[in-house]
Amino acid sequence: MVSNKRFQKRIMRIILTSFVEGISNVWANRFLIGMMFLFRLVFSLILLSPLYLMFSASFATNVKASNFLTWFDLSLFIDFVYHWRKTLSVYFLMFILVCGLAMLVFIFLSGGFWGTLRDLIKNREQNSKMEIFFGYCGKYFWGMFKISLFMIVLYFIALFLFLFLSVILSSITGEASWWEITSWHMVVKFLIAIILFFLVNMSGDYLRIFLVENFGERFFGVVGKTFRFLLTNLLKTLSLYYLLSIVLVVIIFVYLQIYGIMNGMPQTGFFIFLIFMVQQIFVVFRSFYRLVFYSSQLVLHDKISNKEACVLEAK
Amino acid sequence: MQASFSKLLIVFFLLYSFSSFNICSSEEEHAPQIASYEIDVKLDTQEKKLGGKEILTFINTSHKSIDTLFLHLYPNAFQSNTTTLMKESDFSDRIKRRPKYRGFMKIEMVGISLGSDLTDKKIIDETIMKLPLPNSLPPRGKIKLEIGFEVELPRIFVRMGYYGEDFMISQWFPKMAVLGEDGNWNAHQYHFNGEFFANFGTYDVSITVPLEYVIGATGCLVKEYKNTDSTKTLVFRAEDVHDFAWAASPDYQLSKRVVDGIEVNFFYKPEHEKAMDRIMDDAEFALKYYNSCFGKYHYNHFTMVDTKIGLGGGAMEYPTLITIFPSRVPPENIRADALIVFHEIAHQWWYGMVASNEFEEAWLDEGFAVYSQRRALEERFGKRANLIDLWGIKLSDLDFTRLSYFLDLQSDPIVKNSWEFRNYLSYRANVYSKTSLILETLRNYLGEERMDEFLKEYFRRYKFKHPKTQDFIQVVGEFTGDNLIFVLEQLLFGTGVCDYEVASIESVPLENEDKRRRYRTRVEVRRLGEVVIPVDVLIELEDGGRIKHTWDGKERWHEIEIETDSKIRSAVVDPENKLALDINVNNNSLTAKSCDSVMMKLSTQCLFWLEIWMHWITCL
Ligand SMILES: [Zn+2]
Repeated sequence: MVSNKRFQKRIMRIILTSFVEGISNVWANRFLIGMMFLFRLVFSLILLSPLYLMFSASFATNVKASNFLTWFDLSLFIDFVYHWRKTLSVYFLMFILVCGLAMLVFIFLSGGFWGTLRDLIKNREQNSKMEIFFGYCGKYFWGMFKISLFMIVLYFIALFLFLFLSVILSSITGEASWWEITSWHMVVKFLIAIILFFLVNMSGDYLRIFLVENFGERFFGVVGKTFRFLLTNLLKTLSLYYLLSIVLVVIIFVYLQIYGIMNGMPQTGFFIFLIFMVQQIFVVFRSFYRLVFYSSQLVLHDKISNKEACVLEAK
Repeated sequence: MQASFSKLLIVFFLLYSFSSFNICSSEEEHAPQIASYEIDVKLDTQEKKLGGKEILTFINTSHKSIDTLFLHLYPNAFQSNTTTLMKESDFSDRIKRRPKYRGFMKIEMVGISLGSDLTDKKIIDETIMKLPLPNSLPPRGKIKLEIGFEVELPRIFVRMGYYGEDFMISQWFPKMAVLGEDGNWNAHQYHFNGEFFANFGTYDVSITVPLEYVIGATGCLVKEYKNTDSTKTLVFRAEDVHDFAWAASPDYQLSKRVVDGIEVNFFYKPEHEKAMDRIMDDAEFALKYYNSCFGKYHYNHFTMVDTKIGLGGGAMEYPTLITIFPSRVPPENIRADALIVFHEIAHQWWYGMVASNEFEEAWLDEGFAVYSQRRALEERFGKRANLIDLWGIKLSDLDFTRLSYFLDLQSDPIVKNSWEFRNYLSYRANVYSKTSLILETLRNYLGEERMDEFLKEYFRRYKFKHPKTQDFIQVVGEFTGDNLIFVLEQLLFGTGVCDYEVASIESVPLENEDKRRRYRTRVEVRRLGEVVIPVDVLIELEDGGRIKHTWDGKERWHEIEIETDSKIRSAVVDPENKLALDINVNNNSLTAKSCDSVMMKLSTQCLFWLEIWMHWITCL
């Protein structure tokens, strides 16, 4: 009984320290946050610019467009879509292409993110951060790309698993309307979806950790190692993932509250600017927090494998 | 005084309730009895078959003697993949591959009551049966036919058939086509686009089903008895109607309510128990609302049946009966069920009582029903988000209608045979959406009160009749004068669109001797669409002054030039949004200065959502 409690405490401590160290590691490499934010901003601006031109032609000198300041007037929007339907179909194509490109660029950058954060844990010398960052980007690109493809497969498996489980659940409890989230088995379905999504996402993170730790190894060797690690340390890895996620959910909730209050204010230029700033701060935070996910999990992995190594040595 | 008055009321009420007991329609005016039916039918729930006999009484209301009768045998539309209906739908493959979608009607015998047997003389062409008569039928002459028939039911498909243990039985008996005054028959094949057309009459229908079955039908139940072979027979009577439909299920539950003296019955499936009250409320609302807007519902009974109607349909209207299959969307946020109930109940006025030809002028029913449904939705749920109010998305029925109008603006005019439309999208866009937008525009021009007077008059004049496009135009003319008739004709018979724009605005300072600064203000408005409608142009000045100007819209462009004390701030064409048909409201105005806060809000919001999107797509 006592040892069980002590065990729980030890897990709690290891998770909390991973979380805190994760944050401080990201903070020590603030330029990574900048890179992450810049990546989002640049691609978003690319996608925004054609829209901006269309908005400007339809709404900039439109008396009725002031409706948008208080509510989303769909009638204006419907006419907008109809009027620009041809341009929008070209835009849609461009949207898909730019998103594809963005995903490739992110896969490229993620080598840099993971590599740089790993170095910090190993206390390696860092002379020119940028040079090293892009060095890692190039070095890990192919591996990261394969992981992304593998992740698509995992998401599909998770989706089928979810459908399978919900069919079973429905056959036990009978059909329920999807909007009645209060009914208990909709809650169960929702939880299943969340758990599966978390599991897949988390596996992706550890695949990347094992890739940077075991560079040069066969891809499926890395996959095997990752899942062996995840299966033996599922409690710790999942607990850390949930801790990270819960903190994120709380922060998103706080953001939504602030946004709600601000959105209720009179829509003058000043307040629109203020909302814009809050939104951008939120996006910067999300960039920071994704890196915290990465680095906390790196720290946890480091702690666990160090301990395993110690145990082996002691034996 | 008070007490004696209330006693009088009680006596009156008692008298009234006795007099209305078990009478199937009110005592007032009746429809012309042109085609009446006595039908005896048995449903074989195992074999999915109907077997029946009917006595059809028909009066020649034309000016000519006729020597051939035309009847509809609608179930034959399901007999193969090459029928008119199948070829026009996208389902011909389905029926080819899956025999259970096949259905047909067999005429076992047909003859004149107490007269010659015509069974061998009948000529059947798909869904039309021609019946040469031994002696011609003179004007005002009456004929009684006896017909024995059998219907093989398809699996539920385009409004009729079975699914599981349930049955939706419509267009199921040999039905007289409509004879025009000129002696020509209005008898078309059963087409995929378009619905039905028939004469009024009285229906006495006896339906025999297994004991466990519950039936919802047109008309009202006058008798029910058990038979010796573990079946029962239900006898229905429907007066002043032009069709008869029914649905049967072993697990129907019944909910009843009396609304404005109308007995409302809802036969619902147990799994829709939760939706039942809501749908009854919607029906109660619609009946009361339409009663007050259009004129009184003629019958003292109204039935809703909870049934699927198969591919190619959502819900359907029949005289005094509608089908509704509750949707699986959150009813507080998406009012799909309310829309369907409001639409189908509106058909009780625009189809049930004012019975236009749905083959050739479907817009007079469908467009009116869409317009009425919108009025009811607005009255019940407000103007802005009366259809969808979910996750910040607010969609009104008007938005939805405009959207579906945009799906095919210009392929066909509204007035056209239903089956000759380019495709279902064009049929829908014109017959349903554009028509309702015309009525919406008319409402905006006339004002709500005048519009109701117009609809009441149209209903009063054409109740139990079959008005045509010209009848509608004539009544509109009486209410609006000739100006709008010209507009109406462009909209009904043409494919042009309506689009006005403010092309440019400017204010130039004037050189003058006195010290007051004055400006020459110019506004150019343009008509981009083909449809000519007089429009208002509102000019707003920087000092708050407003100048209203009316343009007849006849030329392609028009310039307004005035001298003003201050510079122009904005100009708006159609400032009150009267033109529900305008296909681009975003070009209806111009401001002198650009509205920076709107642009800032739109672009910053978009940027934020794009950034969040970038976050999500990089989860992989
Ligand atoms: Zn309809």
